[in-house]
Amino acid sequence: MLALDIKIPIGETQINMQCEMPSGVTALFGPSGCGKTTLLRAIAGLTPCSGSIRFKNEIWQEGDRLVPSHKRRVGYVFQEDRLFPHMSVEENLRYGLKRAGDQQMPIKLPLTDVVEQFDLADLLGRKPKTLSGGESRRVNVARAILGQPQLLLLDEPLNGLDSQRKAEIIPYLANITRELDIPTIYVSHLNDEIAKLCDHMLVMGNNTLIRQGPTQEILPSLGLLSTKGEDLGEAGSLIEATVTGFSEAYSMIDMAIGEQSMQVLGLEPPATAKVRLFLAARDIAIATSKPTQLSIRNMLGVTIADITPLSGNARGLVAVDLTVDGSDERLCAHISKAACEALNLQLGAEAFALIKSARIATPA
Amino acid sequence: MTEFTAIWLTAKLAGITTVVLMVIATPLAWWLAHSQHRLKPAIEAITAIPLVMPPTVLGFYLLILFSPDNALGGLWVELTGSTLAFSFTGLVIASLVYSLPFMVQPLTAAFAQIGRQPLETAATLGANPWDAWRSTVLPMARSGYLTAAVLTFAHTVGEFGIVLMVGGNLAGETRVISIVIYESVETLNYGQAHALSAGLLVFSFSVLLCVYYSNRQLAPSLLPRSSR
Repeated sequence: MLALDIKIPIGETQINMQCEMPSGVTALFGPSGCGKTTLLRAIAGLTPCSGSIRFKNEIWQEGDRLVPSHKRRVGYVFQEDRLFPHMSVEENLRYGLKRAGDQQMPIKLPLTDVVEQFDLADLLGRKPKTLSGGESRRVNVARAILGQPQLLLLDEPLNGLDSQRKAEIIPYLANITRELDIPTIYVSHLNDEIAKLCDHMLVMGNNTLIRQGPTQEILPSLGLLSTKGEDLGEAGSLIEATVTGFSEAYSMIDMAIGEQSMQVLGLEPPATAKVRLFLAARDIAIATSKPTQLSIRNMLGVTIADITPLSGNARGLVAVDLTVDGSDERLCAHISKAACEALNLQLGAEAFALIKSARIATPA
Repeated sequence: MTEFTAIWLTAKLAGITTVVLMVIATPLAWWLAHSQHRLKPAIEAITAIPLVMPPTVLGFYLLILFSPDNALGGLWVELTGSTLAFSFTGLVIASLVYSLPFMVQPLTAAFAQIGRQPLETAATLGANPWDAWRSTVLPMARSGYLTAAVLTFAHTVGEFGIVLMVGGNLAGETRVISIVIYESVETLNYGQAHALSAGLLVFSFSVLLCVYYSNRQLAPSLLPRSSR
C-alpha cells in the first residue's frame, strides 16, 4: 500500500527507512525523538528526503519526480493545534472539504456526518482561540478527515483528550478508517490506543525501523525491543475472548478463553460477543501450583513456551511466553529472574498464570 | 489655494507610494522572513539603509540616477520625452526608496511570526501554494499590513529632504506640504506655516494612535527598529 525507501537528513545524521505498510491502521511506535514525526512529514511531502515513496499505484517521489503535498491528498493531524485562527470552526472544517470538491473528488465523508460524530454542532460558529484543548483536538481531527484523504497521518491525535472523549473518538476513527478503507498511520506511545486501533505495528528506534508486524505479535515483545533502556511503553498480550455473561451486582463480565474462563471488571456488557483483551506483561504472575486465598480472580492453566532474559534497564527481568491450555492464545509475563530461578521454571512445564488486571481493548 | 493643492498632492504621493510598496515589499518581506540564504543579511542591510542615511544623500544619488546622461534617466527621457528629476513620477520613485523599510520591516515581522505552519497545514488540506498563502498568511498578516501601510503613508507625508533634492518646488507637481511649510517660513508667512505644521502634527499623532490602539499587542514589535 505505502512503500518507502527513503533517507531523511536531520542535522548531522539521517533517518533511514525501508518498509512496506499494509492498508488498515498502522501504529508507528517508538521513544520520543526517534524520528516518528519527521517520517510522517516526509510521507506528506513537508520535509524533503531522498529515495522513493509509492502509494498504491501512484509514485509520490522517485528520482526527480516529486508530487507536491497538496496533490498527495493526505489528511494530516499534527501534534500541535493547527487550526487557522482567523477562521471559525466551520470555515476550518470546510477548508479541505471545499478544495476536495473543487478538484471533483467524491465526497465520501459529508460535513454533517463528521460534525455529528465528533459532536461539533455547538462549536461551528466559534473561533479556534475560544476552544478548550479537547475541543480543538476534535476539530483538528475532523478537519483532516473532511479533506477526503486517501491516507491519514495521525501524530498523537488524541493528546490532551480525557479518557472518556478518547473512548468516544477511537471507535469512530477505527470505523471510518476501516469502512472507507483509508489507510492510516498512527503515531502513539500509548499501548492502550494501539491495542484498540491498530492492526499493524512499526517500531522505530534511533532513526531507523527496529521491527514491524501484526499488533498481536509485536505488542508482547515490546520490552524485549528496548535494548538501550528507552521507554517503549508497556509490553503486553492481546488475546481473544468470548463473552459468556454479565453480573450487574459485581460489575463483572464473564468470558471464555478456549475452554477456560475469566472475569473482567466492566460497568456494562460489551456490545459484541467477542472481544480482544489487553493483558500487561507485568500484571501477570506465575505459580507452579494452584494458589488459594488470593484476591486475584483470574488463573489460567498455561504451559511455558519460552523463557527470555531481558536486557538493558530490564535486565533483572525475564519474559516468559505461555500458551493458554485449551486454546491457541499466547500470553507474555515479565517476572524477576530471581523468581524464575527460585520456581525452577522449565520449558514445557505446566503452570498457572495469575492475571492481576485485564482490559477490554476492542471488539474482536 | 496653494495649501489645498499641496495637501492633495501629498496625499496622492503617499497613497501611490503605499500601494506600490505593498506589492513590492510583500515578496521581499516573505523572503526576508523565511530565507536562510547567505545573502540575506546584505539584503536586510540594503533595505534598512533609508532608515539611517540622511535623505539628502539618497536624494543626491537619485538625482544623479535620474539625469538623462545615465541609463535610467536617459531611458525615461526616450520613452516619455520628459525628465524624471523635478517630476511627480520622480518623486514617487524617490518615495518608494525612502519609505521601503517602513513597509518591509513590519511585514517581515508579521510573516516571521506567522511562520510556515499555516502553509503546510493548508497544503495537506489540498490547497496549492498560492491558494494556501492567500487564504491563510494574507488574512493572518492583516494587522501587519495595517501597521506597515499606516507607517509608510505617514512617513511619506513627512518627507522633506529627499523631495527638495529630487522634486524641487513646482506647484501641483512636486510642491508637497513639507515644502510649502519650508517656503512659508522662508517668506516669514508664519500663519500658514503654523496651520500646516499643526495639521501634520495632529495627522501623525492620530494615525499612530490608531495603529497602536488597533494592534495593541502586535504594534510595538512590528515598528521599524530605528523608530522604537
